[in-house]
Order: sequence, then C-alpha cells, then structure tokens
Amino acid sequence: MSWLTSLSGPAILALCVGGAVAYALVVILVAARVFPHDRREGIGVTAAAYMTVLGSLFAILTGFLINSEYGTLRQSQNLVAVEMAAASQLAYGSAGLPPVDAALVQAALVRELDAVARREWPHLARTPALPSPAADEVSALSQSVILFGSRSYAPPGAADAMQGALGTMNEARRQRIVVATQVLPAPLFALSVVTGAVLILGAVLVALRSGPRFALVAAGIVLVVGLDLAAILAISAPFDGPFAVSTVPILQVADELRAGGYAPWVAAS
Amino acid sequence: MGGRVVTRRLLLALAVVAAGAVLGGCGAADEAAVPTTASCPASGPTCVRVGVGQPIYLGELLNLTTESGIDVQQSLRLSVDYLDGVFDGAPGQLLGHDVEVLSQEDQCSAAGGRTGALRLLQEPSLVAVVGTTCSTAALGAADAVLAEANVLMVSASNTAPSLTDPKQRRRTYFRVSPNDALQASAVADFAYVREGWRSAVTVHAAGDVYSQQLASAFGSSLNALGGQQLADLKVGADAPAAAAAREIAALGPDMVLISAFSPECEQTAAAIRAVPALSSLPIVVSEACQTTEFLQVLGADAKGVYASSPDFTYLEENAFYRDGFLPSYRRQTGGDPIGVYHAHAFDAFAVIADAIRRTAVIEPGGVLVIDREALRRALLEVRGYQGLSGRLTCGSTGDCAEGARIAIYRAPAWPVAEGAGAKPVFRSQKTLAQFNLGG
Repeated sequence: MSWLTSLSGPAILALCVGGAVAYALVVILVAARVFPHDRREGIGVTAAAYMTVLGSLFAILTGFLINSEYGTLRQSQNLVAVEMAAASQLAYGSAGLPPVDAALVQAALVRELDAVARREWPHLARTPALPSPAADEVSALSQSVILFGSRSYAPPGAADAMQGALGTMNEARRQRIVVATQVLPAPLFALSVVTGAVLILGAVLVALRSGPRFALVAAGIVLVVGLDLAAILAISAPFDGPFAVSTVPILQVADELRAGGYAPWVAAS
Repeated sequence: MGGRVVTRRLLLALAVVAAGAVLGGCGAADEAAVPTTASCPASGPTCVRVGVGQPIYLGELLNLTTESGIDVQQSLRLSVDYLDGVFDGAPGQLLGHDVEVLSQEDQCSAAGGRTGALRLLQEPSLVAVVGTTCSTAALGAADAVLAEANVLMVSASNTAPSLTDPKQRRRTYFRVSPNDALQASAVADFAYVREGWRSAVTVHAAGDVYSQQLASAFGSSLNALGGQQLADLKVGADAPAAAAAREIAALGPDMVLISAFSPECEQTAAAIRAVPALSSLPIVVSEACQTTEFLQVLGADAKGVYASSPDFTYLEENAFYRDGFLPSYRRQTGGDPIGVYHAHAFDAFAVIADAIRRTAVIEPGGVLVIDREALRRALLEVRGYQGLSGRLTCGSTGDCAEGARIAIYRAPAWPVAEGAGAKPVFRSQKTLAQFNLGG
C-alpha cells in the first residue's frame, strides 16, 4: 500500500474522488438497468433504512483511521522538533569547547543533519527497516562528541551538555524510525472502502427513488466518501506523500550552523 | 420519464463533484520548501571552484631562514593535521578536501614579499595566505599584491602598526599577532614605571618597517609617560653596530631598546657590551631578537638582557595549548617551540578554516565553491574567538588580536631557551581599545 500513500496530494485526491464518482456512475447505470421504475420505491425505502447505520459505520471507521494516522503524523513532527531542539542544544554545548574543536563538532553535526534530511527521509518512506544511508554520519557525530568531550581540557559542563543532547537526538531519531516502520492498517482501510462503497450504493438507490432533489445529497455523499478516503491516504505516510513531516527544520538548523549561528565567536551580520 | 430525470440529475451532480475534485487537486501544491544557498557565480573574479578530489590551496609566505618563520610553518603543519580533530601526524581534510599549503619565501623584504605573493598567485585556486613573517614583506608589498587578487592574507607575526592603519591597510589584510603599539606601550611601562628608566635610545634595523615602527611607538609611549627618547638609531649594512654603540655611549641613556632581527640584534648587543661604559647598560630586545642564536652569540654577555614577547605563561594557562597543542608540537618537531608566534599561527589557520566552513557552498555535483569576498566578510564577523594566542576580534582595521599580554623575560631565562619554565620578570596586558585601534 506504500505506493498508494506515497502519491502526491492531487493524485490521491483525483484517485479517491474520481474512483468514488466512477463507482457511483457504474452503480447508477447498473441500478437504472436492473431496477425497473416500479421496484425502485421498495428498494429505495429499504436502502434509506440502512443509510444511517452505514453512514455511522463509515464515519466511525474513517474517523478512527484519520485520528490514528494524524496522531502518527503529529508524533513524527514532535519527534523532529525534539531532535532539532537536541541538535541545537548539542551545538550550544559544543560552544564551550575550544573553538577549533567546537567547529569540528558542529561540522559533524551539519553533515549528520544534511544526511538525515536528504538521504534518510526518502529511505524512511520506502525501506525504513533497512540500515539508514545516514548511518555513517550519525556514527561520526557520536564519535566526535565522545572524542572531544572526553579530552582533558574539555569543560565538564560542555561535555555533559553535548552528551545529553546527543542521547536525546539518538532517542528521537530511533523513535522516528520506529514510527516510519508503522503502516496504514490495511484491513481497517479496506473495511472503510467497502463501507463507503455500500454507502454510495445506498445513496444512489435512495436518489433514484426520491427524485431530483436527492441527487445533490447523493453527490455530496459520494464526494465525502472520496475525500475521507483521500484524507486517510494523504496523512498516513509521515515521511512521504502530501502531508509528510517537513525536513525544513532540519535543514534550517544545518544552515544556521553553517552560517556560524551557534559559534559564539561569530557576530550576527 | 421521472426516473430518467433523476438519473440525469444524479449524473450531472456527480460530474460537478468529479470536476471539483480534479480542479481542487490541481490547485493543491505539495512542493517541499527547500532552502537554497546563494552560490558564487561561476565566472566571478572572487570565486574558487574546488572539484571533487581536488585540494583546497592555501599559501604560506614566510621567512624560513628565521626561527620565527620556521616556528610558524611548523605550527601551520599542526593546524592542517588537526583538521580532523587529532594530532596524528597525518593531514586532515576540510569539507572533504585535502588542504595543500603552497610555500614561498618572503625574504623579509618588500621585494621578497611581492615576489612570493606573485608566485603563490600562479595557483589560480589560491584561497588564502598565512603570512608574511616580516612586516616589511607585507606593507605595500605582499598585502598589495594579494589584495589586488582578492586573496585573504592573515599574518601570524606582522606587528608593525602601519599595516592596520586605516590609511594604509589593504582590504584583504588581517593579522592575529598583536599590534606593536601594545608591545611598545608595555615595554615603556616596564622601563619607566617598573624600572624607573627615564631616558632611552632605540636601535632599529635600517629599512625594516617592523623594527622602525616598534622603536618609534616605544619612543612615543615613553615620552607620553614623561620619559624621553634620546635618539632612534639605525643599524645595517651602511650603519655599523659599533658606531651606534659609540653614539649610545655619548648620549648616556638609562636603557636601550633594540628592535631588529638577527644578525643585527646580536651585533648591536655585542657592540654595546664591548663599550666599557655600557657594560651594565640595561638592554631590552624585541621579540624578533628573542632567539637561541642571540643567546649563543652573546654568551655570557647575554645574561641580564631583557626580551619582550607574548606572555608564554598565559599560553600555558590555555588547557588546549598545554594539553593538546604543545605536546603534539613537541612530538612532531622534536622540541619546544622555537619562536613566539606558533600559537598565533595556529589561530591564523583556524580562523581561515572556520571562515571557509561558514562560507563555502557545496554544489549538487559535489563541487566546493569558495567566494573569496565572502571569506573576507566572514573574517570581519569574528568576535571574541578564544584562540590559543588570546581573544580575537577582527575589526575593519584588520587587527584581530583584541589585546596582548606582553611579558618581559630576563636572559638566560627566555622562553626560547627554557620553554614553559621561563618566568617573566614583568607582565602587562594591553588592549587595542586603550589605543582606539579596535576598528
């Protein structure tokens, strides 16, 4: 299902709403042929009786999925925020080292952040269970922090701050990877699709019985089903697709580091 | 009939929904905002493009016939070594590139400085130069040539005040060594306040900017304190040291300051000691005279000669210098620093490397682009860099050393002879702000 969730926003929208409309068209044409005018009244009444139940079931299922997937998206965003806060703390902590060492720690941090944003993100979207392409840079940063923090001339405060921040960064990153391995629960999504399909069927049958006024309501239901399913797909891939967690905060910290924003010896220009 | 109408209306409504979805979908943009960094224009005169696998070229323009020049060179080697964070004897890399240091002699002369700078510029990708050793080789010579080519020049040992005089300073010129206005003032304090010497004669090397300006600055400081500079003599090929010694004897000062280089330092001091009336005249020599050669040539006569220089005990207070740099210097060169500007040299390279890290742009193909003009501006942003040699703030005058802790040592207990064990007899801390030279 990852190919589906990794589509762009317009593609997902077109696919889901278009699919719902196409399905509705098929249902209309089939129902118009299968059910003669004199039978539509009875079928319409029966369908109307199930609309409430079907609508509720669809709403509960999609609501649960949207809530769950949005929660995952928010969690991923929060983890990136924690990771970047720790990266900033690491950079500030390194400022307590001699400038030549601080510059090297910060350079290692820049390389790690660049690798995470540019290489690890696409990797998380596709094959999160495999070793990260940013592993070398992550390892190099850890080694830098340990190397410079353990030197006899390193102020204990700076070493502790760096090591604490590095621990938080690694923990947040690891959690981010765990989140990336989670996928949209396919059975629940399939159930939502089936429920949505039945709901559309019911709406069409009711519309055939109730006359032109109900046509717009039925069209609205088709649209809502399509949009709901599109929303679920759009937010269910935190590292890819239209609602992916942004890498901008990571690249921003990297750019600030490059520009000397965390170097106490660089005056803001 | 009614059923057909319903079906048509239903189809029409669905068509509207489908059209809306398509239009809505088209309107939703999902471009990730990717920050872009302005890159140096490919054909720009200030741009250096370093291809994948190619080295970053830096230059050193030093006087390698002097201990000071060799000391700075050894320190620069250590700086390149430390680019990977360890003093392991193997050169490190900067932004994934080797650093190749091209070396030229400044010959301690204007002609030498100019020629050396031009030779370094034969490498079109030259990014920056550490040097010169002698102020004479820089002033109006190397600094002018390198400024013309927009190449950054950071000296670890130039001290002549005029190099950072706004009227003469070249825009790409910086130095991390202290302005001699500070040393001159500290020596004047030592002479006038501490020792009570009221009059002095200064001796400088003929035609040398550094020694001439230090002597002049010392005279000004002494006069400002209430003392008197009786004369400023020169020694050199056309001005024998013996003649200067005779003139000193005739003037009868309380002290003499020799600001020169080897061999003028040794020749002048020996000539003074050879005059019986001057056998106990206090002699103070500037840091360029503070060499092992001076002590060897003068022998017993060197005893009691004072030498001014950056305060080595202050360097020892810096834990990175004491525990990291100095042991590595000893390990890799087989001895203690032989000059007084090794810490400054390490700092000169460090601020250049830092500026490169902050300004270089790595293009998608991996090409490293360094804008020399951005590099110059990056150096002007340095504020309070805690270097080995002290705090550095690079102002618009090009002076980066915020101040200087100057020490006066009494021979034979000079740092070049006794290393870290040498204890100064006088210390003074001066800042550029005291002289309104902060830029």
